[in-house]
Amino acid sequence: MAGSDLFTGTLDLLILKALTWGPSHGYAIGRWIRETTGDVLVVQEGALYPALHRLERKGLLSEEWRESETGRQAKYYSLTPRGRGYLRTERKRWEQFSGAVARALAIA
Amino acid sequence: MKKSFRLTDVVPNARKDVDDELAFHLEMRTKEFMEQGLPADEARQRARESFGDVQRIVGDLRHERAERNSERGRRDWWIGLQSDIRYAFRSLRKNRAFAAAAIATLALGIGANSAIFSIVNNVLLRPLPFPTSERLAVLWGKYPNYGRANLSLPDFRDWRDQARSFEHVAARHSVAFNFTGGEEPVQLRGDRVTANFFAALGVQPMLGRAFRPEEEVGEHLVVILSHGFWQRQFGGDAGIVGSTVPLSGRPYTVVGVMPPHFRFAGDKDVWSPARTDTPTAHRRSEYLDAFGRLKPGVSIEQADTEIATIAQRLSVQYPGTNANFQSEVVSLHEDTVADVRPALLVFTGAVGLVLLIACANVANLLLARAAAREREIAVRSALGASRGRLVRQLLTESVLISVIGGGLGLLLAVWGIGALRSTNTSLLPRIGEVRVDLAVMGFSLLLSLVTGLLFGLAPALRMVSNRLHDSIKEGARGAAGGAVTRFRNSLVLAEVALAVVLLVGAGLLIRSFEKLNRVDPGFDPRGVLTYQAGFPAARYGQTSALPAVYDQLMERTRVIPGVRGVAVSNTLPTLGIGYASFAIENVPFPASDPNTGPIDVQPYTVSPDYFKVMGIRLTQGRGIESRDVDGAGDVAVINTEMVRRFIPAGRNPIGMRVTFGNPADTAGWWTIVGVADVVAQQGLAAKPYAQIYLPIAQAPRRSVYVTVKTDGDPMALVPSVRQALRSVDSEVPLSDVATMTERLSTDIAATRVSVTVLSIFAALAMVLAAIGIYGVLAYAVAQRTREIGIRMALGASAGVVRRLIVRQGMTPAIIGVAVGLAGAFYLTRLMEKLLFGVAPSDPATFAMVAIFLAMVAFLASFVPARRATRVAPTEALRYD
Repeated sequence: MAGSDLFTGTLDLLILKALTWGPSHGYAIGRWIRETTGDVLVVQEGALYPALHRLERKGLLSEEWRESETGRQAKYYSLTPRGRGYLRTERKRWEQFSGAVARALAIA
Repeated sequence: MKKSFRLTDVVPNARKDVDDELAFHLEMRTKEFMEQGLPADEARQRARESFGDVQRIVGDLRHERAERNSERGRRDWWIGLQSDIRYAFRSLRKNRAFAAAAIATLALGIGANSAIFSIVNNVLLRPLPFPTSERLAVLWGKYPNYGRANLSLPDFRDWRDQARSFEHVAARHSVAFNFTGGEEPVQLRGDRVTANFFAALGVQPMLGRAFRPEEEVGEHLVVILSHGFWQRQFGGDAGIVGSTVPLSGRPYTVVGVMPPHFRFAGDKDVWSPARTDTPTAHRRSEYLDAFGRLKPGVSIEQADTEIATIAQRLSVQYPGTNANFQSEVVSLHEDTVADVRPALLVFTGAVGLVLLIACANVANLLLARAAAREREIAVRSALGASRGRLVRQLLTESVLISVIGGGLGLLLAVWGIGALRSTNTSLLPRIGEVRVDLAVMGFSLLLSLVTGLLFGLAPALRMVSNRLHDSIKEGARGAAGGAVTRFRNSLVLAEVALAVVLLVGAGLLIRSFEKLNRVDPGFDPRGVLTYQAGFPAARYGQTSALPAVYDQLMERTRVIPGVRGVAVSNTLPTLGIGYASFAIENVPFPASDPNTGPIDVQPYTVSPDYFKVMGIRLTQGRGIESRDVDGAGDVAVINTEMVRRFIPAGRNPIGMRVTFGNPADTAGWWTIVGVADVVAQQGLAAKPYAQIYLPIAQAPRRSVYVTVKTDGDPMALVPSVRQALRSVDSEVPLSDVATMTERLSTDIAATRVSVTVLSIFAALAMVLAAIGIYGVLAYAVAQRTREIGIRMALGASAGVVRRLIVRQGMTPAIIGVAVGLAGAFYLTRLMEKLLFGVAPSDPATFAMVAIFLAMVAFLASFVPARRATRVAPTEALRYD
């Protein structure tokens, strides 16, 4: 997994997107990213946690320990209203950005 | 556990948080690989690989988490507080009965404190409403070991002219004017003042000018109006200055109007110049209130010393009049509030005690609740909530209760002050300035916060103490019961002790009040209507014309149906009176005794029926009769106190002659014809004073009091009495109308207010203490239901069980009574000035309070005790 800024921003977006389905713990978020992006984005799973903690610190996520589906305590993350707004604007920016890059590459 | 309860609030442990989170991830991932068919250790290995460098990530995360926790500390504190407050609100809503009881208790406690504080703050602490008022001082005359006296005009002039400490030395005395410029004649409250009166106070008229020095010399018909009178009578006419108003039959020119709220020596309508040039004034004709404005930098003590030197010089210069006349200079503020300070300080102490009792009671309620919350606290504690965090949560609840209570208390205070103001405005100096202001609100808020911490801290600490962890196990009920009960017992003890102090204080005042009420005033106030009438010089000329007017007035009043008698006099008991120096023919004065005060008498001038109308007993000789007119022999009636002090033992006063002023140049002698009982002239609490009665026909005055005796309701006579006065002179107002009973009750009104206020506080204290005892016992009974059931099942009689419970309640109460009596013995000395005829350590009061509180404690214990014995044993055994 690359550590570039480009990638960091992308991972944040994916995490936020994953949580639009509802509160989830880190393992399930990682699994969702793996399954939806297939083999294109092979995430080193450990990288997920610094990202989660960073997003929580910025107030985009909130966290809460609760019982998971297996009966064990797990830390659940959920989108804060700010996180939801951030996802909306960043998604727009990402679409503009990726569209622009795609157009530029097509011209070349 | 509450749904919104967030563990992150209470787990600052960064290491555990990170470890747990990653462990969970690895475990789930391992499980996933195993579901794909891998054996356990291989699955674990694959999970680690796909995770990346576990150690590095764990390190990064832990570091980041720890940093963030300390960064977020402050923000979390506030967020935590908000959630604490929300939680506290929910908790109070769930326990409405508890919340209502605690809030009501505190509202009463804080309300009483706020009300008393607002009075103390405005009356005792705030400066007087004059510019640089700290430089204002009152100049009193003084008789050694007797007390203060007003100044005579010659003494005032000498003090004023010789003193160097003052910018101004001014003086005033009251005067009444008949004002005939309105629809009805009315009597105005006036002051005659020296020209520098307003300058000395530092307040100038808002319209026109102050008086000029030359207006003190000779007679000048000029007047300054009060703002209130100007508004009331002239609708605030801006052109009033320069016009004339009729006062007591003479035209006075208005030269100024004072600003609103200007008030000195009571509410006044008008001010007019005082003459200071009267050459014949006697040095012991004391009628002036003198005060001054100190030069900057001069202290009260320096001024006091200087005036004392001047008074000393005068006593050498005029030994005949000034030998025993000294001086005393006090600050105007001190002079204004000194009389009420003892009462206000006692009230402050009393409300403080009430609040302490309220705190003890609420602490008790909290502890009772603690039993129900033990599990909740234990669970939160087990989940990792730190002890500090839990204490904070519990204290938030306490402070929330006290702040709500304080808010309601403030409303109570506003209401209470309004009630006090409407009862009697003359009882308390500066009562008009009293209001609930920012200072009072701040005080209430501070008091609420302190109160909340005070009653909340001990229960909170106790609730989170270690032993409570046991109670997480169901059935370990009351593991901490012993300690808590001991603590609650000591609260009850404290409450009872405080209540005893308050009850003793109130009891002493009640006994003072009783004694005061039982004092024989020396006259019979029942069925006597009184009013004042003034017959001004402008309409009646020389005073020699007045006896005929009195006779006409009394004749027309006497024929009113229901009137049993009517009299005219210069003053009335309970009102102001002059003091006259005198001499008895051929009787030397007793050696000058500094402890008995001036050798003088309170002089009355009365019409013949005065003794009959007022019900004053004559012990010897005769009273004033209708034959004692001008030109007949001058006669006098003296009182028993004058006989005791000044007539040599064994000699008959009848037939002796007295004179006034200096016997060497006397104008005449009055022959004593009778002796009357002592009349309580200066109030029921005052010592007996020598008194003398002269026929008013031989010494007529322009302003007189008329007394009318009836068998029925005196106030019912007012219309016909007014008609009688009007038929004599339609321009003379009927003023200062009151029954004699009313005048007498005003005299003891201040004591009555003290009694009422302190009794209310004491009753409050007693009820709170009783509730406290009851609460502790009811709780104890509930805790011991099982034990009681077993005892009864084993054959213990109801009586034995009742005794057991009652003893548990009575023990702290009795100790509390003993402690309280000891405390009261020390504290009641502070209220000695408020007492009359009762010693601060009055044994009867102490004994009664002790018995009374013991009875209250017994009742408060007996009710739960009886309930305990009503429990069926089988039910009690099941009770858990």
